[in-house]
Amino acid sequence: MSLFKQITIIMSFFLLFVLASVMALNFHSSAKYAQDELLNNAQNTVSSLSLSLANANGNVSAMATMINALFDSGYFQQITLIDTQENVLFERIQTNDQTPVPLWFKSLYTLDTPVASATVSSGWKPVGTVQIVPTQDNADIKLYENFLELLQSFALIALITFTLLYFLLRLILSSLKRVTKQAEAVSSNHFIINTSVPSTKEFKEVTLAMNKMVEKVKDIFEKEAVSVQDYHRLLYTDELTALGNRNYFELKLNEFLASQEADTKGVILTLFLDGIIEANKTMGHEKVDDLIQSLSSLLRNKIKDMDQAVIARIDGTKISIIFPRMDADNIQELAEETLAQAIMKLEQSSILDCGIKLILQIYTTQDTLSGLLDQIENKLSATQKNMLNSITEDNAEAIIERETIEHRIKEHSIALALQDVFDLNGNSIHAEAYVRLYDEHQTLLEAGDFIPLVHKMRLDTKLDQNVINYAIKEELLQSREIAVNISLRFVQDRDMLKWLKERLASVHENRVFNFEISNHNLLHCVDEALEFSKMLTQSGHKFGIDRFTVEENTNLNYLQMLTPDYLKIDSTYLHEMVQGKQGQINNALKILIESLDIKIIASNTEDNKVKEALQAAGIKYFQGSLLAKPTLI
Amino acid sequence: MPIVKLILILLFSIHTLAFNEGPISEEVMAKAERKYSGLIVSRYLAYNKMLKEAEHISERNKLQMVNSFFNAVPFQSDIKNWKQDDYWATPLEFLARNKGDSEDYVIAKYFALKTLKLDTKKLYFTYVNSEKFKRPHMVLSYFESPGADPFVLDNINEEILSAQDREDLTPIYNFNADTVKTLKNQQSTHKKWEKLIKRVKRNKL
Repeated sequence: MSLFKQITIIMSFFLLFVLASVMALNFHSSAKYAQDELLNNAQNTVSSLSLSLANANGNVSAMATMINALFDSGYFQQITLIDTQENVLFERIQTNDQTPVPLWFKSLYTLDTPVASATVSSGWKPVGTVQIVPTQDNADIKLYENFLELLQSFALIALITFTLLYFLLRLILSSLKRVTKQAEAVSSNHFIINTSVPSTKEFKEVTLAMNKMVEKVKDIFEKEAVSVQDYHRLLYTDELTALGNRNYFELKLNEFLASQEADTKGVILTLFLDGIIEANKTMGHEKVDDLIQSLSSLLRNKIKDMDQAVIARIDGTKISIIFPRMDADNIQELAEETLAQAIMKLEQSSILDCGIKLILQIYTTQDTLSGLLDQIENKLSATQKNMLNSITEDNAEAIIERETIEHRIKEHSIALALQDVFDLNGNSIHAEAYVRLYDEHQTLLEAGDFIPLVHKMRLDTKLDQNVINYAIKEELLQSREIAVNISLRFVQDRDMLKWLKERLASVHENRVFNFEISNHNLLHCVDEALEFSKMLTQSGHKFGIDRFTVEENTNLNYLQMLTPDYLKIDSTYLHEMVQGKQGQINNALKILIESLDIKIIASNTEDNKVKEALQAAGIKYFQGSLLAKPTLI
Repeated sequence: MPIVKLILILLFSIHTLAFNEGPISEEVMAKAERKYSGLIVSRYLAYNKMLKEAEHISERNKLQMVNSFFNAVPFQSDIKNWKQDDYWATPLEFLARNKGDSEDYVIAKYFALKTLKLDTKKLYFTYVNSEKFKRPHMVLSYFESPGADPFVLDNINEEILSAQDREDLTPIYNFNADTVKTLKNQQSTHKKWEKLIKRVKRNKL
C-alpha cells in the first residue's frame, strides 16, 4: 500500500474519531439540556396551574375544566389531580403520537420523565396536589433536528478537511515520488540527478544521499568505460599515426563482409609507400616517420566528411581506407587527387628513391578477407610507381531486376532462415531470423543478392515491415522467440515506431520478439533508438544491438541510456577484448556491460578454442556456425 | 482553596449536628463568636434553652413557645438587611443578625418545630396578602388535622389565631416542605427551598 493511502487512512480514522467524539459530547450535553428544560417547563406550568386551580375553591369539575384546557395544548403526557389522601380526583393521559424521530435514534439516549407537582389550595386549606408529566416528543424532535444539523455540518467539515488533506499530501509526497523515480532509475541503470531538492528535511536527506550515490555509480561506470576504450585503443590503434592498425582493419572489413545489409558492397583504397623500408635504413626513422604521419593526415582529411569510411595503417608500408556502400566510380576522382597530393608530399620530404602506389579494390559479401588482401598484393605488383590501378566494375551482374524488386519483397516471397542463440546448457534463448527471397523461378536469393538494391531503392522499411508481418503470421514461428534485424531507416521513421507498436499489440501476449539493430547504424540514430527500445520494453518485447564494437571517440553512455537486452559481439573481437596482454583475463568490457544487466552474446562463433576461451572468461551465450548454421523454415 | 474549604465543611458537618437536627452545637457557637460577638452566643444559648423547655410540653404549647421566641426578633426588610430583594435566611443567620422579614420568621419557626419533633406534614408555608400593610406576606400554617382550619403563626399578630380569625390576611398559595422534596432522582421542584436547605445543613451563619 502506498504511503499516500496509509496516511489518508490514518488521517481519516483520526478525523472520524475527533468528529465522532465532538458529536457524542455535543449530543450528550444537548440531551442533558433537554432533560433540564423538560423539568423546568413542567415545574413552571404546574406552579401556574396550581395557582389557577386555587380559584376553583375546591370545585373538582371547575378544576377538571382548567386541566382539560391546559392538557389539550398537547405539551403534556399526563396531568393528575390528587386529594390530600392520595386519591385521584381527575386525570388526563395522552396516548403516544407518531413523531418523525426514528426509533433507533430514541434508543441512543434515555430521558428521565420528570414529574412536577404543586399543592392546590382552596383558601387556607390545601385540597390536594397537581402533578404534571411533560411529553418527551418535543425534546425528541429537538434532539433529532439538532443531530441532523450536526451531521450536516460535520459532513461539510470532513469534506473540506479531506480536500485540503489531499492537496497537502500531494504537495508533500511529490518530492517522495521524485525520489522513488530516481531509485527506480538507478535499479534500471539510469543515472538521474534530482535537481529539485525537497524542503522536507527527511526527503531532502534521502534525495541528497541518492544524488551522491547516483553520481558515484555514474563515476564508476564512466571510469570503466574509459578503461574499455583505452584497451580497445591499445589493441586496435597504430601508435605512430593514431590510425587503426591491421587488427582494426580486419575487424571492420570482416564486419562489412559479414553484413546482411547495405554495407555489402564497397571499395578499399590502399596507399603503398614503395621503397620505404630501404629509406628507413638510409635516411633514418625520423624522416620516414614524418612522411608517414603527413600522408596519414592527408588521407584522414580526405575522408573527414564520410563518417562510414574506415581508415587503418595495415602494415609499415600501407594505409588503407574502406569505403562501404561505394562504387569505384565514386572514389575514382578522390583517388586521383589523393595520389597527386601524396606524390607532392613525398617530394617535399626529400626522401629519395621512394614511390607511391594507390590501389582501388572492390569488395562484395562474396569475398573473403584473405582473398581481398591477396588481390590487393597482386594489384600492387602490377602497378607502376606513382600510379593508380585501373578497375572495371561489372554492373551487368545484377542478380535481380530493379523493376521486380518491389514486387519481390512482398510477404509471399519472403523466407526466413533461423540461427539459434544458445546458453551454456545448450538451450536456445532465441533464434535470429535472416531474410531470404524467392525469385520468380522459386530459387532462393541470399541477403547479399538483394539487400544492396533494396537499400538503393529505399525499400528497407517496406522490407522490414513485410518481414515482421511474415514473422508474426507464420505458423511455424508461433512457439519460437525470434530476433528480427531492422534497418536504420526503419528506426529513424517515427511512423514505423507507431506502426510496430500497433502491430505488436495484436500479437498473443505470450509471444516475445527481439529486434536488433547494428551498433554502427545505432550510432546514427541513438535518440530514435531510445524511443524504440522504450516502446519494446513497455510492450514486453526486447531490444538488442548487433555487431557491437567499441567505437573511437564514442562515449559508451549510450548503452546505459538504451539498456538493450543483449549485445551481440563478434567472437574474435570479444576474445581479443577479454584477453589480457599476458594471457590473463581483462574483464572491463564484460563488467561494464553486465553491470547494466545486458546479456553478452558471442556471435559468429566458428572456432572452438575461441569459444572455450570466452566461456572461461564468463561469456554465457553463443551464436555461430560452430553451434548451428542458419536453417530455412 | 475551594477544595480545602469544601473538605473542611464536610468534616464540620459530620462532627456537628446541623441546626434542624437538634440544639445549636458548641462549635457553631464558637464560630459565631469569632464572626460576630459574644451577644450572639447568648441568643443561641437562649434558643437551646427554649428548645429544652419545650421538649416535653403539648403541641399547642410548643407552637406558642416557638412563636413567641422568634417574634421577639425585630422586623427588617431584606433590602436593608441583606441588600437583596428577597433573601431566605437560615435560623442561625436570623438569630445572629437578630432581625429579618416575614419569611425568616416562618423558616426559623418551622425548623424549631421540626426539631421539637412536630409532624412537618401539618406545617405549610403559606403565601398570603396582608390587607393591612398592602404587601405580600408569609405565614406558617398549622393544620392540626387534614381539612381542619389552620392556625396561623406570623410576626404581625403575636397571637396564634385560627385562619378564620385572620381577616387581615388573604391566602394565595400553600406549600409543604415534604411535598417539595425531590421525587425519585430528579432535582428539587422548589429551587429557593433547596438552596435554603443546603445552607441550613452547612450551619451557615
